Parts: sequence; structure tokens; C-alpha cells
Amino acid sequence: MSSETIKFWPIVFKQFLFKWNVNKDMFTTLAILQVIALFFSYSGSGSFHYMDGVEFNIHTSDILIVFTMIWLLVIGVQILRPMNALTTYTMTANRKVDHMSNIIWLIVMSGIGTVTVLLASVLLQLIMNYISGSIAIMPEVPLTFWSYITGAVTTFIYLVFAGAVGYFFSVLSQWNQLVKIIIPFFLIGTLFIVPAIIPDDLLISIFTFIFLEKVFMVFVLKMFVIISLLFAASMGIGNRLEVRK
Amino acid sequence: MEIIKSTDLVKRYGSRLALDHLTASILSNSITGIVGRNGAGKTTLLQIIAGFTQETSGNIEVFSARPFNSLHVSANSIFIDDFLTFPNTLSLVDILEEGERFYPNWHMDLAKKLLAYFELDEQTVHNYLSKGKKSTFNAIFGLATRSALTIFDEPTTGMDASVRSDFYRALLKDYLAHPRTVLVSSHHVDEIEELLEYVLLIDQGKTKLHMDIDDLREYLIGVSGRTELLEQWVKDRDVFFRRRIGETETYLVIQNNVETKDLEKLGFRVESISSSDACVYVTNKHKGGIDDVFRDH
Amino acid sequence: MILQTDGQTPIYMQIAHWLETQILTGVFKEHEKVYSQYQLAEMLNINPATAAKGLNVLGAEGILYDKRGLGKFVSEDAKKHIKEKRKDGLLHDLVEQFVEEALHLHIEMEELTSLVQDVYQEKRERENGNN
Repeated sequence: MSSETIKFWPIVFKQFLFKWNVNKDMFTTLAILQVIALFFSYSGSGSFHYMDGVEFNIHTSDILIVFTMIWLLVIGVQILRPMNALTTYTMTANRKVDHMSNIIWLIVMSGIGTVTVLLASVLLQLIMNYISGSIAIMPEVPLTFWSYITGAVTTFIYLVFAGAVGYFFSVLSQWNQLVKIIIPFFLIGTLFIVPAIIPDDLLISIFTFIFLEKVFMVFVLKMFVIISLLFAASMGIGNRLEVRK
Repeated sequence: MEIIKSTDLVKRYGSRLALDHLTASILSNSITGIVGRNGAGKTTLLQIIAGFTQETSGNIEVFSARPFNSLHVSANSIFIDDFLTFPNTLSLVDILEEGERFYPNWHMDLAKKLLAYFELDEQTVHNYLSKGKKSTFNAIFGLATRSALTIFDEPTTGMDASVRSDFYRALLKDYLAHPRTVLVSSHHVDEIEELLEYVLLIDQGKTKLHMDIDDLREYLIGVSGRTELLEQWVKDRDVFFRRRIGETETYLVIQNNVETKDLEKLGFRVESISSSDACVYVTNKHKGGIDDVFRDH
Repeated sequence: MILQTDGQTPIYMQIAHWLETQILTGVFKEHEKVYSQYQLAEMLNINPATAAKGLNVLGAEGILYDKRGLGKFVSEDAKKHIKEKRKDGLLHDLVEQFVEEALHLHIEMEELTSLVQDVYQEKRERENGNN
């Protein structure tokens, strides 16, 4: 039987479809998470009264986005769990194909996440309208087409970012088992010990750098670079891992 | 044509030397049995050939490429063992469909018929299968890929006797219909003997024997006779095994480079040694076998 | 045809033997195609390379000849050739074993002869019954 030469991208596509089929149940998780997020959003982020007796409640879809980001983070980490990793290599694959198809899958999932977040926010507004008997719904920011797009793209970028972070963590822990323990401890530790050891400024500036950028294009560029670095690092570190059986 | 070529292959796990300068080559379109004791290095060798593990040093070529991380090798080979993992979110028939996606020579008809024959429910999830049924499914998957290089590492664990012989028969029939290079590692050499063309015996990470199955069957002989006469005659030869029979006789295993007639003329009895026994004797550390443990008691 | 797997005779020799018998008894006539290595492999559940060896043994002895791409065919004098071979070889060895065993059991020549006659008679009748 003759052996045939193999092209890279068709295999990446096949692996993508394979992972898609295998991980379809992730959507159920997403749906559940978003329903929970809707509940939280319903109670509102804040409210204030206006003299004339009109009550204003502020609702944001922040929680929705955060939950979906967590979902992406989790699935990013899950991809390289031994069970999933071994499954990949049952079919045609090499490490580059594996990483590339994982990354593409994360991006697609982020896209789907974005769409569901947008739809859920609309759902939230509908719920507000019908259940709480609100008279009017006023968006905080003028609802132009451009601002809608900006919102969607921003959400998408946050989601991809969460996935990239999760994936990077997953690759690191494949490389060294201790990572799985050290990083969570480190993160939890920073919640408590931070003021003493790490100056507030550093953490705040990291947070600001990522989440509070005001100019849209700069934000897109920044995040593109960060995400690319994360994925590239993942592919680089993960290229020599053995599939140990 | 050499499909697999290894020269001085070394694999070290920490301080443990799993493969110690192993040299061997496998011809295309043949069935080779990979034999050896536990820990001899069979699985390590097969995993390196399949591209799952990296060699520490030495040269290994599969389809003229280095197997580790090679898409070419991965696409044209399939490695079936106990740890073959399938997603447990997919049913068996879904898994077969994924296989069809990846393997260009995939034979769906055969796969489905084998599933039905071995009474595996298409809709079950791989994880829920018993050990034996998992092995059976894995074997079916392996056969259906019709990969140019098909490797089975202890494929029959957990299978009952009738399933085992059915599997080997199915392997032979599909091999006849679609020749490919097959490597089978098994503890039950005698079971797969007729299926094999070659045997590669590995011992302590090295190639101990690599020959035609027929040559292996004739490699050693068992000679028995009066102790003094026998020991005298065998003085300059390698003895692979030695056992006293009663007070006056001894049984020896030696290489078959003597005429049986000559031995019989000297009054000795000669018997043939099966290929699986030959493998055991050749890799024996104790020339007296287990009896050595019980000596002096 | 049941293969003996006890290691006394290599499988490819057993195949060669069996094919010779098939030729002797007329199952395969002169210039007729015998089983291919794949057919033999399938029938006897063995590796085709082993079957090929058996065919090659007969090829080397001139009992079979090769038609490129078509397979192996029975040679012109195959039957005669086999008879001679067996008479000098196999039959002779069998007689030696037979006589040796008889000597061990201290059986006299007359008893031996009448035994041979009886068995010969019996087998002859059975063969005539079959034809």
C-alpha cells in the first residue's frame, strides 16, 4: 500500500471538525452559565432614584461577559487534558496541527460566545421590559451601529483573550506539572498578600492596560499583540511534548 | 523496500535504559511479530515508530522520515493498544465516521459489519464498554483504517479465545485483500505464529533475533540422553537450557546446527523447539529455568 | 487439509507435500493452475509468504512452473516426478521407520507381510469404492 503525502491545512480543518464534534456538549454548559448570569443581571448593578418618583435601575451585561469569559478560560484549559490530548493523536495529527486546530476552535467558540452574549443581552432587555414593567430602556452609550460593532468586537476580543490565557496555562502545566499548583496559589495569594508584597500600582496598571483602554483601535491592536504572543508561546512550548501512553 | 529502519536506537527514561542501541529494519507489506519479555522494550520501540515518543539518540526512519511530530507518518500509520483513546462524548458509530474523515483508505462497510459481528452496539459510548469489548472495538478501528503501517500492541488483552481467533482471521483476510505493513506485539506467540512472516525478538532493549518464522522454528533443538555422554559432546557449544531428568539423563537446548541423524546415532533423542519456546530459551537469564530457584532444597 | 503445528515439519513443507498429493490424485492436472499463495493463505489461515515458500519449493523441483502474472501451473511430468521422489524419499523413510518399530516389537517377517497385505487390501477397496 503506497503512502501519500499530506498537506497541513486540510488536516487542521479535519481536526477542527473532530474537536467540534467531540466538544458539542460545551454549548450546554455555556447556556446554563448564561442563564445564571441573566439572573444576576436581572437584579441589576446599581440603581438610583430620581426625584420625580421615577426609579432608575442600571443593568449591564458585564456579568454575562464575565461568565462567558470564564467559560472560555475553562475550555481553554480543558483542551489539553490527557483524555482530550490522547484523543487528538488517535487521528492524524502532529503537534503543530494540534495547536493550530485548538486555537482555531477557541476562536470559533469565542465567536459563538460573542453572538450568544449579544443575544442574551437583548433577552435581558426583553425580560426587563415585560417582567419589571419598565417604561423605557435607555442605553448608557448612544446606540449607534458603530458602537454596537465596537461592543461586539470588544466582547469577542475579551473572550479570545480568556481562551488564550487558559490555553497557555494548559500548555505550561503539560510542560511542568507543578504549574497547575503554583499558578492558582499565586493568584489566590495575590488577592490577600498583594498590598504587602506587590505594589498596588502594578496590579492596577495591568488591569487598566487590558480592561480600561479608552481608544478602540489601540485596544484592538494591543490585544491582538498580547493574544498572538500567548498563542505563539503555547505553540512554541508545546511543540516537543510527548504523547505518553 | 524498508518501511522502518532503526540504527543504534537509544531511549532513556531518567536513569532507565529502555532501548539500548537497537538496530532493526522492517520490510513493507509483511506481518512481523514483535516478541520479548515484559520490560524488554517492545512498547517503547513501537511508540517511537508511531511517532508518539522521541528517541534519546540514534536513527529511526519510518517512510523515510523521522516519525516524531511527522504528519506524514501519523497520516499513514495507526497504533492500536490498550491506551487508544476515543472521546466518550461520541458513540461508536460517530467514532467510525471520524475515522473515515481522517483515513483515506478507510473501509466503513467492513467496520460496521465487524461491529455487528462482535455484537457491539453502534450507539454505545466507548467508555462504557467492558475491557474485552474495548479491545475488540480498537482492533476493528485499526483494521478499518487500512493504514500502510498498522501496529498492534497486545491487541487481544481481555478478549476471550473465540474473539481472539476471529480477530486474527479478520486481520489475515483484510491483509490478503489489502496488503500493508503490520507489526503485532503479543505475549502469545504460538497463537499468532501462522499469521507471521517474520519475528523480531527484543531483549533488554536490543535486537536479540530477527528472522523468518520458519527459521525461528528450526533455530533450536532439544536433545536428551545419558548425562555423561551428552555433557561430553556438548562441551564447546552454547547451551541455552539444561535440566536433569532422573538420575542418569539430561535434557539440553542447543542451536540446530547439527544433523539430527548424527545425534540419533549417538543414542540421543532429538525434538524440535517451537518458536515461542525458542524465544523464551534465547532470552533466559537462568540456564536452568525456574528450577534454579528450587535447587538445594 | 489440517496443518500440523507441532513443529515437526515446517508448514511450507506440509503445503508442498499436500499439493503433490493433490497432483498425484489428479485434482490438478498437467498445465492446470494450482492455488495461488493468497488462496492457500486464506484456506489454511497462514501468512501468504509461507504459502509462497511451499509453492516455490515445488517450483524449484520442477513440479510447478511459473506463468508470469498468471500464477503457478502443474508441469508436464509432474506426476511421474512426484512418484519417483516419494518412492525414493518418503516411502523409503516410512518403510525404515515401520521396520524399525517392528524390530523393536520383535515381530517376524511373515507377520509383517500379512499386516501390509491386509492394510493394502483395505485401502485399495476404499479407494475403488470412492472412484
